[in-house]
Amino acid sequence: MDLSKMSNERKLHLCKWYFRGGFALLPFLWAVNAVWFAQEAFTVPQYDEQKQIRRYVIFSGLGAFVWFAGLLAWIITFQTHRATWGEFGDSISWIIPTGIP
Amino acid sequence: MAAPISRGCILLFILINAACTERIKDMIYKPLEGVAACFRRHNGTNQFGCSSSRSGSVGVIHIIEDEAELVWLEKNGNAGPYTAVVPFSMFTRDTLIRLRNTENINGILLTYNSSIERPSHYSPDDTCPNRYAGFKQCDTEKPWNPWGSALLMEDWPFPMFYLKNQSQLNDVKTCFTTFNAHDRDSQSQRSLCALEMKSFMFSAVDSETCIRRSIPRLNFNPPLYCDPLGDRNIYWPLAALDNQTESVILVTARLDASTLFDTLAPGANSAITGLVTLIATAHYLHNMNPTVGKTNVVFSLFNGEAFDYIGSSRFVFDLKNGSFHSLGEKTLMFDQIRTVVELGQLGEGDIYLHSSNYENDSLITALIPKLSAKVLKDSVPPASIQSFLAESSTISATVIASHGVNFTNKYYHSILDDAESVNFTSSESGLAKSLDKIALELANQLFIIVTGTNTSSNGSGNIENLISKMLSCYLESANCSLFKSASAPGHQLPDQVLPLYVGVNRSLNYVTTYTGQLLALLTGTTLAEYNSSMCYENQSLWMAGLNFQGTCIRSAVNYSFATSPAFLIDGYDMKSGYYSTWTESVWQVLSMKMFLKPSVAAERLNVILGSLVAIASFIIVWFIQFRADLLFNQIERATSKLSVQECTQLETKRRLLIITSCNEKKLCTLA
Repeated sequence: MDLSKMSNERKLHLCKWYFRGGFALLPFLWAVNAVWFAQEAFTVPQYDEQKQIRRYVIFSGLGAFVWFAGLLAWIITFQTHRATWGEFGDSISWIIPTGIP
Repeated sequence: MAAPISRGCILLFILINAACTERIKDMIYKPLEGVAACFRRHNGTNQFGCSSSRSGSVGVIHIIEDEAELVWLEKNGNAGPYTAVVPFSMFTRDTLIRLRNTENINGILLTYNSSIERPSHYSPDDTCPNRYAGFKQCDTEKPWNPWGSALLMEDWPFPMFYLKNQSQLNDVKTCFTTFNAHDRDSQSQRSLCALEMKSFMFSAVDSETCIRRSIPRLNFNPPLYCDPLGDRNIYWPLAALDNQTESVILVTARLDASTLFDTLAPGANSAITGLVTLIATAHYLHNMNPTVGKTNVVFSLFNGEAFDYIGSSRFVFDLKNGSFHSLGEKTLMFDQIRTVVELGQLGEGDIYLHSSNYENDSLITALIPKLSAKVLKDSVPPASIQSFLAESSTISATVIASHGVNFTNKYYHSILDDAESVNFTSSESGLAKSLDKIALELANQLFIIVTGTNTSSNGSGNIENLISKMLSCYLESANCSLFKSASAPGHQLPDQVLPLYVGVNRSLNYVTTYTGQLLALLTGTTLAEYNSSMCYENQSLWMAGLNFQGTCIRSAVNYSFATSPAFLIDGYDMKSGYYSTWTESVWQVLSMKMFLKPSVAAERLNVILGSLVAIASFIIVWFIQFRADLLFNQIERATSKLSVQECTQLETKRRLLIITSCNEKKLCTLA
């Protein structure tokens, strides 16, 4: 979809629904929303709906960032501690690598 | 005329080339066949053995035949990682630890040159075999196996292979001298001969972990990581157990040995001598045809004894639980066993009886003078009787062995524990004579106790020859007349020394099958009137027989599982150390190949060239895309920039052009 060909109400509608969709544990949707509407929210000449769009973009970006920070922290913890967790580590693993603890 | 001929020649040339091509892989690599690899095993707490990296470990060949070479590798080896090629004389714990400490080693290749004298001793097992299992701890000051280097009890960070094939050994040596041996200091600047070892092991940590990981979770089937060690025990009761049976004398021997390398476990002294003597004793006793009264004799061969007494501990476990049904309808109970006589490592020379609680036992006390044996009171070698004594410390038990407080076997549990180490040749053998004597005396004493009468030996006379033949089957090649007699007619026997390693419990060992059938042949009754189909119907064994014509043998020989109780008991604590917890890792390949590894500089150049080409192609693509209008879209782009006025002009021009061309055409046609 080309945002430049879209009416301002339509843009707002889209941005709002991307933001709401992100609550269904879809951080990537928030990330897409934040990047996609960034220009609309901050650089283009002002229009009525821009303020709301900006809010959605900021919160989508924040949400995505928190998600990714959390994921990164978990991945690092899991990868470095899975072996020491022993049985618990195995029980939360889907595929256990061969040949290493 | 010349053209078709030359064309035909070219076609022929291409065809021949296509038919005889050598694959590039084959031109680069030289696979080394007939190698044996060290692999990974676990017990309840640790991991042991070797593994390569996932894709194979590559190391530059360095032949270490003396201390100087080892020191060079430690101090000056700069083209590493290396693969150390060591003969037996250098394959010691000290060398291996030093090599490990260099952290510059990606593999060890042990070579054996049969023309060179074998080492004075080499035993990869512990000084106290099965140190943490059984009834009686071993005295670390005076250990059973003083030559033990405990290489088996170590987790090595590199793969280890064994190569005996002389021509391949020469290939390795030639490659080393041609490419690696000269100008040592500049090794890192040129291509070097290297070995790639592939022996990647799937399991890790300990038995508990790898078994837990192999259990399917959710709806997902994980790969197999490891299997418990185990096979089968063999039993033969002198007579079927019945209500009359009050007590049982157990004559046992072990059926397995172990080494550092896969498919090689000859166990000549450690297992075969006792095993063959047991079969000979059973044969003698069977031929004496005793009438069994209140005392019965059960012959048993235990498997997996090298790994914390798997077979005997399972037998005792089954007896205790009343779940031992391999001896006919009657269940044997532990309390019925009055004496355990184990045939240990036997040979020529003095005989020792390592006896516990023997003072009131008529069998053991009678054996002492008959075998002119020395008695070692309360001495318990690492043998199956440990399992029985662990269950009841008052049971009468003895191990008949030709060693005193130390093993005389200098190659215990090693690949050198073979026919040569027990001085066996099929033509002349003092060993067969010694074993025959022990078997005969034991059989006589058993006969006296079973029948309650005195006896004059009336067994068959030619048994020394039979023992010699048996030894040859186990020590020289399984493709021998006795195994042939004890197999179904036409059965193809492997032409090799059968490995005695117990293996994993889901695959059956050849050696157990052949031994059971041999025992059946030598202790069974021939049913001469039966043909093969009648034989099967009567649950008897159809085998080739001593004349290879086919005979039906009815035998009481039976098997039971030799898997450690640790894997049967629900929620068994694998770290408790009570039962054997040994497992063996799963692997996909064990292979080794040799190739010329390019120098670091050449490898670097390759990477740099590759990167340059990649970068250049990015730039070119970017450039083409940037100036794409020049190449592809010129007119379209031009059109889009024209104003209305220019457009009309252009249109007029076009029309004129059409008219002129039309006129020209007309003119042409007119002309």
